[in-house]
Amino acid sequence: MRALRSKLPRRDAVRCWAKAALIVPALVICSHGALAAVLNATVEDRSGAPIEDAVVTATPIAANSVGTEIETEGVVDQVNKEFVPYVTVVRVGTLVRFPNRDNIRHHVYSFSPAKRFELPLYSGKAAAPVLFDKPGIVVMGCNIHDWMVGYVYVTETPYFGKTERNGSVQLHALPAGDYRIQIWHPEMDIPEQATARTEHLDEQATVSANWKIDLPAALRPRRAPVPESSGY
Amino acid sequence: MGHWNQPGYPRRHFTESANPILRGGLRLGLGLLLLVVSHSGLAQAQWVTDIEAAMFVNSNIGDATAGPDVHSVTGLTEAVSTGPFFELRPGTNLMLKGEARYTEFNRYTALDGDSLAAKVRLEQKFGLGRQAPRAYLAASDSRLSVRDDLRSGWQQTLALGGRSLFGERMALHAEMGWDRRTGTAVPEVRAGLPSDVFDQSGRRWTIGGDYTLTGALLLQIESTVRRGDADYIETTTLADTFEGATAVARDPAFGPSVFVEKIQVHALFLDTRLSWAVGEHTSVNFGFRRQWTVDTTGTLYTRSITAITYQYRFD
Repeated sequence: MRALRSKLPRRDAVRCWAKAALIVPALVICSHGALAAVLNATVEDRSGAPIEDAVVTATPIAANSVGTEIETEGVVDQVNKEFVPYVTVVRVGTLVRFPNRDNIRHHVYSFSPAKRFELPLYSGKAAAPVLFDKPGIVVMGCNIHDWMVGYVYVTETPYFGKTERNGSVQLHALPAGDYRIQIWHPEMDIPEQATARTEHLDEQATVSANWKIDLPAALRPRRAPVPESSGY
Repeated sequence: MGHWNQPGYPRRHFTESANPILRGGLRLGLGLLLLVVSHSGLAQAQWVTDIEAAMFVNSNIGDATAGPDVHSVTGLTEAVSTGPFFELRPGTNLMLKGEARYTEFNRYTALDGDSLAAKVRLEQKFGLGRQAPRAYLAASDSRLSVRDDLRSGWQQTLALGGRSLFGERMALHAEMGWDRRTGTAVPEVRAGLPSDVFDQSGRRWTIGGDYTLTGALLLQIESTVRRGDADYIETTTLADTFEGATAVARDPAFGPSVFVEKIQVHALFLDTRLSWAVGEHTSVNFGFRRQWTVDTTGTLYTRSITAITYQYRFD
């Protein structure tokens, strides 16, 4: 800066500082999303009951308007012989750790095209994180505990979220523009694309979107004991 | 529950006619296994405890053919088992279990008894994931203590089986097994006719399938053929020829003039069970078994057992 200042005439330097004084606060404001839009998404079943763990993604329709921020690390824990959380959403390029809080072994695997991997987990020994480098849905299981099922949803857009117990999620800091917004849930019986809708988001706008979907009775692998014999 | 139907029933204490080599070998094997496993990462073992309670109705407890000897009973079984589960290496699992079981009846309470068992099961998965087929080798050694000492003794089982999932809902399994038990030796009722009725052995072959009806309901159907020794009761006199029997003893558990006879049989068991997962750790199971047994003289013995079982697993 000192070198630059010395080469510029004094008047140009003043102009330069004045521009900087305007641009920097504007950038700060933008980076905090003050001018950005908010999307309130709600997912319910046909009876109006809230649906938890539904992934909501907002993809800018203008291809070059996708942001560049990547959450660099995700965590899928193993607690009481279950994946926690049941559904994890990450952006392409994210490293996901599997810390294993259980004091027993797990053997996590996935056959999904978006990420095939196999990861033996030992209690108290950290395993190398797994890089999720392709978009798609990754279904995970444990080779020791057949009932364990978990999902990693890998998306290209930085604008995503997952519904809470009340069926709602809020996506913040969406720059103004047109978006394709869609939802996904592990147990829904329609393709993700069928839930897609296009929304135009203005600066500082708060837009609400609601989905009603069918969740057929889930056929999750059973954990309850199965009789080995007739017991008599 | 219930009472002694024969208050003057004498308790008998005789020497067991167990096979000491087989018994000793099994126990030594289980002991060594425990020792090896305890050195191979006990800290990583998962402890599994099962609690089970069942109420059942057996339409023909003595497996008799003649009307007066066919006794229907209601019984209760309570069992608790616990033990460590190890992943020895990826895809190879070992389960060790100790089990205590008590069974009591509303009638013929001389048949009430308990058992203490040690069980081991080694399972190998061929591949990764739920769909991967698996094979297993299971063995058990149990001590049966029945109020009627005649039936007290040791019981060993060995089974080799396989299981695979076909699609999301259906699983098929096949198993072949061996079983043997020993009873308590009693004096011969007739010279030259052995009295070791409960020294029995047999082989069995099982095929079956599970079908997941809903997330909570599982239907199990299983068919077993068993070839080997069995026993049935008969009210008769010593003048009887005991045709087809390989051993005979008096059976005061059922009455003073009742004999229990050992016979060679072919038996077919058909089991149907509906298992309802009440929660992640609990299931309630409704079971029905129909059993047909044919001895070497062509005599047919039938019985059915209906049961409701509660299971809780803490894992």
